[in-house]
Amino acid sequence: MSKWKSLELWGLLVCFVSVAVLAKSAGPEATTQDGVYSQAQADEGKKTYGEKCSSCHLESLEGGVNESPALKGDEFISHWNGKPLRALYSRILSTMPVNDPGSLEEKETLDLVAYILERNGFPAGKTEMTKPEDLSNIQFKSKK
Amino acid sequence: MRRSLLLCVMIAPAIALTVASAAQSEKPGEWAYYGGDKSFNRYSPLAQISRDNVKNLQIVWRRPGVDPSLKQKFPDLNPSHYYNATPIMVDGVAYTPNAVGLLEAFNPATGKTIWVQQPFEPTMKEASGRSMRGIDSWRSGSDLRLLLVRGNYLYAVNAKDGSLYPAFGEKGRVDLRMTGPFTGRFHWSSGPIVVGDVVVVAGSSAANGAGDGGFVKESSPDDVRGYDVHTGKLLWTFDAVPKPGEPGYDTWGNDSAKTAGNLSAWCPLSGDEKLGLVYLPFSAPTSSYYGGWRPGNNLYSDTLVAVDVQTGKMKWYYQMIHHDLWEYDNIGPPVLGQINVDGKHVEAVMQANKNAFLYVLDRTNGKPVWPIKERPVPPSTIPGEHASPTQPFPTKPPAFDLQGLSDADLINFTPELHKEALAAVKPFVLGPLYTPPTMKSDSPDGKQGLLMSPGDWGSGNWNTGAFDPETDMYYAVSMTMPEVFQIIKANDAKATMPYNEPEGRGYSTIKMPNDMPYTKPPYGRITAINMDRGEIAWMSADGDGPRNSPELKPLNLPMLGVMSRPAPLITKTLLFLGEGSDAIIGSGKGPYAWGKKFRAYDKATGKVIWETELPSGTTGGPMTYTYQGKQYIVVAVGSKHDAPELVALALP
Repeated sequence: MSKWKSLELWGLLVCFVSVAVLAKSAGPEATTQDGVYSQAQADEGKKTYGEKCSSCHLESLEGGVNESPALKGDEFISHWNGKPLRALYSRILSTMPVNDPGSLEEKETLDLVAYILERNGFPAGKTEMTKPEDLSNIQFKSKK
Repeated sequence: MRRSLLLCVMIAPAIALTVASAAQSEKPGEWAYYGGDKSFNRYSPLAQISRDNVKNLQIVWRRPGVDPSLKQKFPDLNPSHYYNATPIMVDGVAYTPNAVGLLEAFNPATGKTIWVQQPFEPTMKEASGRSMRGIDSWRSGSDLRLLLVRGNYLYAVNAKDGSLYPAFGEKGRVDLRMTGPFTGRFHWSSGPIVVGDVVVVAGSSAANGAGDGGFVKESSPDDVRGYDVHTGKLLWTFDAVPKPGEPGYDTWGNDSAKTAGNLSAWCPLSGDEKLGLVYLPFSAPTSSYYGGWRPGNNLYSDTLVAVDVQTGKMKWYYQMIHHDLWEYDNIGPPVLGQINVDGKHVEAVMQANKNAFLYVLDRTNGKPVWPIKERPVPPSTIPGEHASPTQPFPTKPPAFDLQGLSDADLINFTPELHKEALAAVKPFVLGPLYTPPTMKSDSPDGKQGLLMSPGDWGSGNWNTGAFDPETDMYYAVSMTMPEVFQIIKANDAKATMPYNEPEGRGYSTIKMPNDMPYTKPPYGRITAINMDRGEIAWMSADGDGPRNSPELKPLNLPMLGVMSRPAPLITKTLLFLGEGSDAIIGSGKGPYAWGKKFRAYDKATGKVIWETELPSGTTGGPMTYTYQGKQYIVVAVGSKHDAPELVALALP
């Protein structure tokens, strides 16, 4: 490998890292299309959902009881589309269940977000969402 | 007044109580309870903003639903946009539950924060919550207390700095959770009332009840309780469902009272300090669409109960609906006012119901001011159901919204719309008021249930009533939103009744193409009722509704009304009303069901005098006060897409 070639590669690497750093400081670096949760996490979320959410939002996530909104479908996706995923997380954490807000743990809420993503057709990936802070850098992005 | 109070305390405690009550009456220009005063009139005699100058009103300040200092401490505090609070203003300071239910004090002229109630513990768990409709205030000498229900607890908050009283309850709060079978967390969307030295708390502790739907008949009764305002000590409990041996127990056949519950008095409460009574608007019982297991009239469901605030003993009751099958709660505050009927002064209580009737009673004894007659109603077709053969029908005043549904009620602005509406309602049984719910056919060609107006969210709701004590006019704000009532054979493992409604109530609101309504307008209205005569004085649509939709715009129609729940404010000459919001649960769907307009109507005629557009739709009730010689109007707004906030209007 020539010296120039090696320098070029180093330059490319530096550029790549710089762009990555800039991207991180400038805003979301991932979207919900990028497999931001794991299947195991969504499965955990399903359990919590069954215990604490389905009596109003139903197993189908279509909502209805006590006028609870649907948690899947076009209206749900368009409402959150373009926002940081943390906004969805914090709305659930702050306000749900409606008759007992504040009772959900941080992990339970992260798992619920994973389950809701799964049910809306967003792909699972290899890693879990472990910290709420990480969700600030994930954009809720529909396929459309 | 404070001086005379001190004197009385020295002379005789019994007299002191009376004077203390008088001392709590609001001063001119204040708004001391979220209904304005304890009569819950939503009325103020303030006249600086008048029909002549209302056109000059402008927004003078806005404040976010949650103070930024709290958001800084708890970055994940992301409240619901249904910010349903109405502030109060006492002694030159305004107070409001914020969008997570903590109290905030602010300057009435600038909206700037004075203090913020801190969560009981500095945790996200304690910071999370929902807003309440309002609070009450209580004063003794220089001690001004703000009474708030938040989550499981009743709080007494010091108006000086937002701190708690360590001697009140346990470390400053009272745990409202009930014990016994079928109980769970405590929750209430309205707020407490203080009458004399007693704080009255309604709300619900039912864990698994089916008052609002479900498969399970067992539930905890939503008893009402009175607490000492000084100590938070429980003074009395009023049983929402009579216990064995108590009067009314026999209105629950098959000993169903032992497992029946719900029927919470969830709406705002009112009180008469002179009579020492508090008025409790109880609502529908467990399993509101199917009552085969609870034969009888089911007291005190859908009943207005007057309770002695010192003892909790019932003074009188009046039941509006026997054996409810439609979730026709008593709704809105029981509005108190003096009216003049046939030359006689009557101390009246005006209780609206979701069914669109206004029941007018003498509040000293519960007797109807105009006859209320038991009339035959259609029988049920559900096996084992015990629908009441008669229901009470007020002879006056007339209903304030559409009752029952037939093809004649369907939209007919164009032949196409009428055709679509006929197709939309075809799968359902239609009928007069009190037609019981019907079975959902297994065949797609069979009838899918009953379609009825009013629906189970009501014509009226918590926003409905206001009263003008100068003109004796009652204002009912209501919406026309028929809904589907379906019954199926139980097919869920959790079910404890042979029949119940489908999970999630199936499709309770049917839809037309392009979100158009299928009935004739208005879709929301203000009905002004002359309470001296029991007659409707005028009726006006309460918002634009679908008048500007592509289908109707060419017809150049007037306001058609909104299928939402705005609350009114009455002043010397005006009636203020917004257009509700899509953040309000239980209202119409689609873009025509709400709006951002805020209007002043001539309260004598219903004509719109002025309108403006607020940053979002109204989610709480507007209130008004005078501060340093200037009148302000404050209202909570928000929508699915707009963050909750308070907005203040004043003249330049």
